[in-house]
Amino acid sequence: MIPYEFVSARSFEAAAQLLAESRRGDVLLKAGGIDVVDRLKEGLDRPKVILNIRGLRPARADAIRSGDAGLTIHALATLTEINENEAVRRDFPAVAAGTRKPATPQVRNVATLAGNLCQKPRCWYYRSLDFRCLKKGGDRCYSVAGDNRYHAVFGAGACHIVAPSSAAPSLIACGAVLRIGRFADGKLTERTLPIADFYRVPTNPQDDEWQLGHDELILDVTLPTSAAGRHSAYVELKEKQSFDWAMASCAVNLNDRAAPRIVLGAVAPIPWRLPKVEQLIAGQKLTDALIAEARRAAVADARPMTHNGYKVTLAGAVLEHALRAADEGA
Amino acid sequence: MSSARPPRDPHSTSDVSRRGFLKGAGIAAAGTVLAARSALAQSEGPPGLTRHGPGPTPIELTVNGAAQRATVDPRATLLDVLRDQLNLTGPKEVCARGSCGGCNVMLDGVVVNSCMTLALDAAGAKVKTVEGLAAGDQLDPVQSALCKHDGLQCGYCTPGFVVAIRSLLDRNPKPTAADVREACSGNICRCGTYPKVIEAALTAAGVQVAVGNVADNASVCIESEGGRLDAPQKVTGRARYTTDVNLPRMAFAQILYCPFGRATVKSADRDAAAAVPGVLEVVLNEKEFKYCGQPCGHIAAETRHALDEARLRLNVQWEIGTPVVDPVAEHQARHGPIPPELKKSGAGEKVTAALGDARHVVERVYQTQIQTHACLEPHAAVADHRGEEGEMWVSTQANIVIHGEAANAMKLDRSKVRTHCEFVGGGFGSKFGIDAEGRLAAELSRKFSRPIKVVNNRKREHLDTGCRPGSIQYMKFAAGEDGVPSAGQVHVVGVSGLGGGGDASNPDHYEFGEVARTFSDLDLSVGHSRPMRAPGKPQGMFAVDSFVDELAETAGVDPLVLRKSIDSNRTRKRMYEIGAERIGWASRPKPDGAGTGRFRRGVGVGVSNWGNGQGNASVGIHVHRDGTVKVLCGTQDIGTGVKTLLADVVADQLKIDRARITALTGSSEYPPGPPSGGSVTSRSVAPAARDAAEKARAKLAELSGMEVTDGESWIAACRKMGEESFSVVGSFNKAYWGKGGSEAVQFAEVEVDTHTGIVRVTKVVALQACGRPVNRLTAENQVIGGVIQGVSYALFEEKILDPVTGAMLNPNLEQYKILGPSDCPEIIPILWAEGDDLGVRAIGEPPVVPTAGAVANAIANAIGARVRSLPISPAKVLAALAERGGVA
Repeated sequence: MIPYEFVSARSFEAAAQLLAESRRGDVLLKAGGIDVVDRLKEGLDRPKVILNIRGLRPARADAIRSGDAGLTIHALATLTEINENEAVRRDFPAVAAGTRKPATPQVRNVATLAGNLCQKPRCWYYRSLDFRCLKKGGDRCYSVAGDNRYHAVFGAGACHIVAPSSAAPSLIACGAVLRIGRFADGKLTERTLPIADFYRVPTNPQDDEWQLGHDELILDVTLPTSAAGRHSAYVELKEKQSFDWAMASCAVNLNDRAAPRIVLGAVAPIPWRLPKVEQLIAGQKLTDALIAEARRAAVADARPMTHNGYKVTLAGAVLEHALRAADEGA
Repeated sequence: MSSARPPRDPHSTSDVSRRGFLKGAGIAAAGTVLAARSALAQSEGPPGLTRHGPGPTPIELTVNGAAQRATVDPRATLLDVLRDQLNLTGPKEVCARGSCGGCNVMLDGVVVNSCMTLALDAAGAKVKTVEGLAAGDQLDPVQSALCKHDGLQCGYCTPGFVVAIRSLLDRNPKPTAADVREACSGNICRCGTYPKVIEAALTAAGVQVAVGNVADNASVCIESEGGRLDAPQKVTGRARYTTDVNLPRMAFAQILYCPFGRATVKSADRDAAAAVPGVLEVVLNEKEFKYCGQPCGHIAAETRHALDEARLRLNVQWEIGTPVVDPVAEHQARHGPIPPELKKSGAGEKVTAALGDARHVVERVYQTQIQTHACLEPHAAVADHRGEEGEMWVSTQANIVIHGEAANAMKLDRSKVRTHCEFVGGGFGSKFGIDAEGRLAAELSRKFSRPIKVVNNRKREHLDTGCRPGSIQYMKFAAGEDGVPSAGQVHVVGVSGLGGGGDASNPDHYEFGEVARTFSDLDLSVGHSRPMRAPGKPQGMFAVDSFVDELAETAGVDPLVLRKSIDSNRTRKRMYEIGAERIGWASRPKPDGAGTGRFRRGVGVGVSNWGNGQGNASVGIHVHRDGTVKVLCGTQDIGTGVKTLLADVVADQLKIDRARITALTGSSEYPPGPPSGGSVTSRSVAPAARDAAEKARAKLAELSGMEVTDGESWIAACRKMGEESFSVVGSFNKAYWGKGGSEAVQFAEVEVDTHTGIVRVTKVVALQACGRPVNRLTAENQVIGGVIQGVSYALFEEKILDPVTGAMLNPNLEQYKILGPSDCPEIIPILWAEGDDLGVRAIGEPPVVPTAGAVANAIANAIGARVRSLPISPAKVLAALAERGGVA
């Protein structure tokens, strides 16, 4: 690593103020640090300042609070705190699974929700200092002529990464709303944003796949009561059942049968919502025939690369498994 | 945020430097410091911030109950501080990226990867390491259960497992086996001890363990219950490996390497690298580099941070050439098509004739991947050249080899050089010398007159410390009505780095009749091969056992029936019977793929054998007046349990209590023992130990004038002898040497998800001939570990090369996938002992051989479609199913 100054914030407001007063790229925001330390060790990021908000982690009892709007999860709640929470398990089983399946127990003990939502992709060309790829300001996506077995089969532009967050598909399926803060007019000001609008494939591959100004940070995430119920599910397909990244994953929420929400993970640069499938099954009983049709509709616009055609099959399979699990209920 | 915890950082660098505050300030003073800090911070930018560094900054933390202070670089991880500053070397740096659990510690009561935790994030926290779990000599129940069940081999991963399991039991005192697997799913054990670890965890929790792993032949073991001698050192983190050696004034060096298959240096910022404070030297060679991982220079520095910073500042830019990465294209270019034409004379002529007349002709091509050793302890060396004499620590499996190499590298007489390797975190064939790491350490230590430590990072470890070569294996045979082959052609293509070494044992073990065999070795732009646990055999037998099943399928006969008719080995013929019964062969789907539903069960079989060569060994015994005995051998314990074997054998020969025996290995100062290769260590050392024990008995009888027959007379005689102590040296003695081979048969059961192609190996019955098992626990552990490495090879592991640049794309433990606890089948090792001779047979290598073939055959049996390429990934299973037209 290149030397940096390590600055710990004692409040979100202080952190936001430092971000607001800094140039983009100078300051790297760190929460649990799982992704940040990985990038620092590889040398991908060389910030002047690490802005540490890990110290703002709430006490376990305060990590998740129930209120009028629903269940509010602190941005720095750990994945373990979320997936062990009774209310999350009962009312948002997809979110519980989406925070229990990824990584390892020791990573989940440290990794925060906001960090999981804003982690950089795992593409092996991007993650290696040896490849100056599009996402690092280079002139090509090495996966196109290279080995793309784990790359995108949907929605890729010039850059073929897949969204790594396993929490995001479930949160989208459960209609979560982000509260985002920035420092303006001498204080911390807030806006809210449905997480369904948070992820966008950037025009410039060097930009993030999420909509957050460089001076903004996520404060908390609210799961609305309207999306609660036992009929949500998250399923992940991995080569290895001990720690591994998903080849394909799917979150489904059928609590409102008239307005189902379905999101694939690990197959596109962003969590991949399936609006056509949602329309297809809206208000319908999930028969074998309908599920088969859903599988076909889900992958109709897939664009596999040279080594990842199998992920199209897996996308259909994981959709079916998640649909059936959500239908049956937790 | 009213709910926020008070920040941990009790002070800042600037405060401390200006006020000298830390002098005498304990943790209790944190509040005062905080208040002072806030006032100061107002004038330096936004309020509410605490600044540290860049540059060293003091922290306080509680480690294992004791308040500790350290001055840390803000880049330091908690692991760095524990290992380098607090000398707590139990937690290991293995993957360095949070993928393996080797560095696990508890931070404020929860298990975390200390390699991914910045030290500043641990300021003010309570840290517990593996060293803090035992209370004096009283082991934690997790530690004692791991000793009792032998839930470890080399021991390098053990501290991480101990902490993970302790953390589980703190939260869940009565876990299920599934809970244990999940809790350990972030831990990797390369030796493959998961089943024993899981048993141990349940035992520690007082949960009844269903004993599925007791060997049928346990009763014939010499020492059936005594645990591994050095287990207590390993479970407490006290075992010191080469990477744990820290010496005063020690500096660090790192080998630089070319990251592409073919490249030249376009530019590099040598000045910027050399300007990093603490850097001793930067050497970067310029030429064309011809493989991914080829050394291109080195950096030496006084701290590891400086070393790492210099590497980044050097900023080497490469001109990338065209690497050789496609074995099929390379074969075509150099040797023509696969297969080559059969010769018109000799075997070729006979095979051509037989193929023309055959009832069945079966022609197949199998492909295997490049596997890396992935030892959890990377290649590492510490050299201390002190002018007239020198000392080296090397992570090695050949102490006898490294001593001479160390002396040469240090340019000193051998008698002036001592070398050490008491503990080694895995070798698997990749650690037979001091290698580039040791040579660099020796050279720089001589040059700078200070100790130098060279430890590979995980990436270099994958790139250039050896591999099991890949292969392409073409087989075409003529067979009769019953599937029995009469003649055929085999062409093996070795896929490895420069220097070759890629031959596969094909054909092997079965009678194939007349075989026209050819072999071509290809030099790809990848790191050299080195022997890897049963070199040439797992890849060969994957193809051979797959092919035998394909012959059986073609002829419509049971694969086991066919094996019995083409396998002349009498031991294996009996193993087929017993193994078939234990796995439930009779209930396997007939024909292949005959099951229904999404999940399909299948059963398959594979075989192996191992010759039993003899190696030279000397064993020294010191006998003391109090009746205790010290046994010394200069061989090394790579996790097989050689120290335990030495003690067990001497105790058995002298009929004395093992508790009186101390066994030591791993030093150039002990009588020389064999390298750990070819599975000869135990079978060479055991006869020498018996020989030494007999010499000790004779000498004691002479000195005491007493007859020495058992433990009681031994002690009496020791008290009576005139000397304080005496020594003898034993050597290889054929009287104690076992004859015969080490046959193996394995049956695997799998469950295939036909929707996803995901394969789970559910059960493996592993029959393993072993002569007289000295220690049941360690012998079973070898067999289990072989099976686990075999399953990992069959399903997961692969050195993935970029087809354009030749770079290895997965040089980590995240995407280089090694089987973990949740992927581990139930394994039933059956130690196959015959007769009553005292001979110890080879079991280090043979158990890794049959597994991939057995798994591949089980998958074909389950789904009626065959994958002929390793690893058998979901993508390949789905492709095979699609080719077959989907599932019924």
